[in-house]
Amino acid sequence: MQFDTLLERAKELFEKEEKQRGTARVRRVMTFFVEIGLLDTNWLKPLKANVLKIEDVLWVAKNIEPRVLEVFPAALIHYPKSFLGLDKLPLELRKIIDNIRLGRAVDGMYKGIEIKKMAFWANFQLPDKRTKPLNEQRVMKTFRFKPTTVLKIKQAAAKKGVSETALLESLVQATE
Amino acid sequence: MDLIRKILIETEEEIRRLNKEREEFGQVRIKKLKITLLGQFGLLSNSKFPPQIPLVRTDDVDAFLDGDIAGKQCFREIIKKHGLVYDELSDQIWIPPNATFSEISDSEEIFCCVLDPVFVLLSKAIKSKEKNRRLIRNSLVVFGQSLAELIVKYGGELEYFLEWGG
Repeated sequence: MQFDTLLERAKELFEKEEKQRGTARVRRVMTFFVEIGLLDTNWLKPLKANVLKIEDVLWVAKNIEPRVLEVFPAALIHYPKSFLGLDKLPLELRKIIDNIRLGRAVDGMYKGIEIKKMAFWANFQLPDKRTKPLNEQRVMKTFRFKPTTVLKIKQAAAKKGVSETALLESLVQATE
Repeated sequence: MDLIRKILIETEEEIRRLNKEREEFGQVRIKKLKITLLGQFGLLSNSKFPPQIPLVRTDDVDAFLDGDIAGKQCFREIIKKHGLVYDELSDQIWIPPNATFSEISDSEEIFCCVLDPVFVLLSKAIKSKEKNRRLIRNSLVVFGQSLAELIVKYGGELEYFLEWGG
């Protein structure tokens, strides 16, 4: 293809994309990601929405900005109520998000995005401070201790002036 | 004031404060920190970047840092205060040969420059083309032949950036 023809094609696509960037679907999706502090842009005319359709998010990631896909797992994990249509989530992406949520290995790529980057944003402290990074969230776990052990934990925690969970966590960290 | 200027001023102030403390204790001053901004953050921090090219960035800052551990740490901490995070893999970013840079700031504590837009875009076109297909296509409209020729010179295929969707 000659350079002039290439440039003409680039201009055509630029104009087509420009029109799409102005649509409500694109503005709603981008506004959400900018507002929660995972993306920033030099072109957005904000348009707020209470909830986003997952299919719209995936459409914007595919047709306008792939970085939406990079931060989408973090947004879905931290703001699940902001998204509608979980059934529209492709199986492969669902598995990736489950692995990120469970702290499993996150190697490989998905549609040009490094999965470890997706996991990174899920563990990132968002500027609004309303959410906790995934690796700082508490997980419920049940153990069966002897009564004497329970008593010892209680007494040691009281002596140190910390909670029983904090005491056990400090003991575990000391083993690292 | 734009974000990068705020970050540089705050980093300078922090390094100055630490140097004052070090002087009081007879310790060596922190070496001048050299920051070379790259990636999307570099593009948005560069007055040479044409505003008509639509750009989206995540919160990571790609930059080469050259200096003492203490100086580098100051920069990391200050950008964190602004909701950003330093990309520890920045040193793996490919800088094209003969690339040019623009100075943003030069003081006793910090020298900061940014890789010029056409070279940031070239690096992305060659090393991370899938994620940057639309950015490169839109940039071709503005930078025209100068960017196109560089992409071809370093083994990129222009046609790839002119496919819709994907």
